[in-house]
Amino acid sequence: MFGSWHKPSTSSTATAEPGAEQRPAQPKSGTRWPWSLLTGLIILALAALIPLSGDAATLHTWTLILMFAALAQSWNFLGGFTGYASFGNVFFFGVGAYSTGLLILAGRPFWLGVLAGAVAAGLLAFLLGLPVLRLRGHYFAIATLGIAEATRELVAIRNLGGSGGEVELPLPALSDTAFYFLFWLLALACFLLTAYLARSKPGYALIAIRESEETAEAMGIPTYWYKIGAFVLSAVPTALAGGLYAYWSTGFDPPTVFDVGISVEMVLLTVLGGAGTLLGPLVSAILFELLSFQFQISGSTFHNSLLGLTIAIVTIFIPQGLVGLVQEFFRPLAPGMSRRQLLVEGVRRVRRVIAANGV
Amino acid sequence: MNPTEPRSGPGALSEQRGFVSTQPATVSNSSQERQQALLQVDHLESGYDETRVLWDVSLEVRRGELVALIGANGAGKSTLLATLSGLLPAWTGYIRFAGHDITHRRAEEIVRLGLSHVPQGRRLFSALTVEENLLLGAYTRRAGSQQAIKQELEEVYALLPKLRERRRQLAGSLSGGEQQMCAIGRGLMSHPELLLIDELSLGLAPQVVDDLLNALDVIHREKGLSLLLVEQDVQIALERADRAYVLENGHIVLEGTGHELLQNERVRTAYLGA
Repeated sequence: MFGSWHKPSTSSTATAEPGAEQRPAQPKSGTRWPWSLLTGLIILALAALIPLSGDAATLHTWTLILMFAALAQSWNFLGGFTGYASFGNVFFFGVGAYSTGLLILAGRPFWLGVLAGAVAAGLLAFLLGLPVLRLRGHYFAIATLGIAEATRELVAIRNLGGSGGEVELPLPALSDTAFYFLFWLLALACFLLTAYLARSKPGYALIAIRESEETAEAMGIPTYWYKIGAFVLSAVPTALAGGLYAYWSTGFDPPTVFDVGISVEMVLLTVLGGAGTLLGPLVSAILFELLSFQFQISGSTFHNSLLGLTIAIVTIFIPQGLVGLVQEFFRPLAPGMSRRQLLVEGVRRVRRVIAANGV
Repeated sequence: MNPTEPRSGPGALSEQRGFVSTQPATVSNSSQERQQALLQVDHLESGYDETRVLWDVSLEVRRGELVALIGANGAGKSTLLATLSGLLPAWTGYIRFAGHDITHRRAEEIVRLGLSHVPQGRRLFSALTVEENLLLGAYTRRAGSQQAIKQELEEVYALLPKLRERRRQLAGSLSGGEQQMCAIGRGLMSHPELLLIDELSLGLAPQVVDDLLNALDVIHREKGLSLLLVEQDVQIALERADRAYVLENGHIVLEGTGHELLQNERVRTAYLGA
């Protein structure tokens, strides 16, 4: 399932040859960033209106949606921009949750716990990144998965600080709306950081690593340190989300906050939305989490199968992600096209989307 | 094919003038360094993990020279370039560039010193536009040098006008020749003193190769850029080169001026099919 996105455009490099003058309308980029930024900000502004509904269930759902939006976006910093797919980012979520839980149990204020979790996750990402980011491609994915799984086993056995297996926290002093806006701020911060990366020198350096790491190195980009930087950048918001989650849900069962399913969800949401894109993780977190909750409400026994089926269909037909699909359709047309040519071009675009997977 | 032939590219002359006039003098202290080696490689050995590829390789590129490196597939040409640009560690031996010992320097520092590597197979960042690719070539330039980078970009566009037309296009959508142009342009963006080009003509139509070589001639002769050209088309390489080396099984087996090697019996039978 993940094979198709890892190096999205290498195939087009190999095929070019002289005499290819009749290539289809030239793909362009560079103009879409402001639109993506605007769209994302509008979506987040609308999301800020959710608490007005006054419905506790809706608020709960959207709190989780924003949490996953933050998680997917922070996964995107490393996984999307550099193409290094970490399957262990839940480790940082767990570190955030655990630090917060333990510090609250020790009588410290919750914000101190959340911050301590973020700092710890950042440091751990740096230290783990030193060996792990020397690995390439699948080896990196396996190593990160191993770290997260090992930690899960460890906390399942030891249950550090927990009473009877669970870390139980006192009822939070914050209202649900306050929590909602904390998650909202986190999602917004991640979005703005992505927007910065999509347009800045460090961001281009990360993309260069994804496109061709050796060439990036030859251009004088210190690829190793960039990867470690992106890993830290992706760990910190994940830990913040973990800390907030722990306090919001008044405790947790230790192995669940290290569950590999959360990692997979970060990867899925980003890839389904469009890895390395600005809007992708945000949009797909909203769409697929809403869909997931709908399936849960309606078809109780089948909801996971239905969700899985939807994901499979999306992956097969839109390997470049939702954002890629939208961009394909809104790509600027060559000027002076007749209506007939427009129709032909439309049909061609639909076919190209399908053909992109070799169907 | 002949370097003295007039350039066949569109607007060649005006582009040349534009390119030269905006160019600050690169060969500043040329009087004392002209005959001195810009790049000097002594008894270099290198390879991958356990496999030794280069055995006791010594060569040099003097300032303003075009040096060709020819050899069969697997002779170690690309390995040599990768070692020079710091992508592969040197096992033993010594590499000196522009007065610095770069044997064990990191790729980043080597680019900063003015050695730029155009890798084999173009290796563009295909999901980025042509202009973004070029700007990444200027990665090592200081943050404060926006103006200089912009000027460098203009010079590259003047030299390779096709790139200006295509600048907002994704690099992966270019034709093979345009991709090679983009790769060379990207290599020039770091403002190098020595450009290493790995397989310029591989898989390109003769006309495209001609255009590229003419563009390189301009920067080589008028800007004083030194070139180390790895080329599988031995005829093209030796006709243009001031000097050339023949690499076989990781050893330098022959060296001489381009014309000497063109006449050489061994080169003619092994590489020119004569």
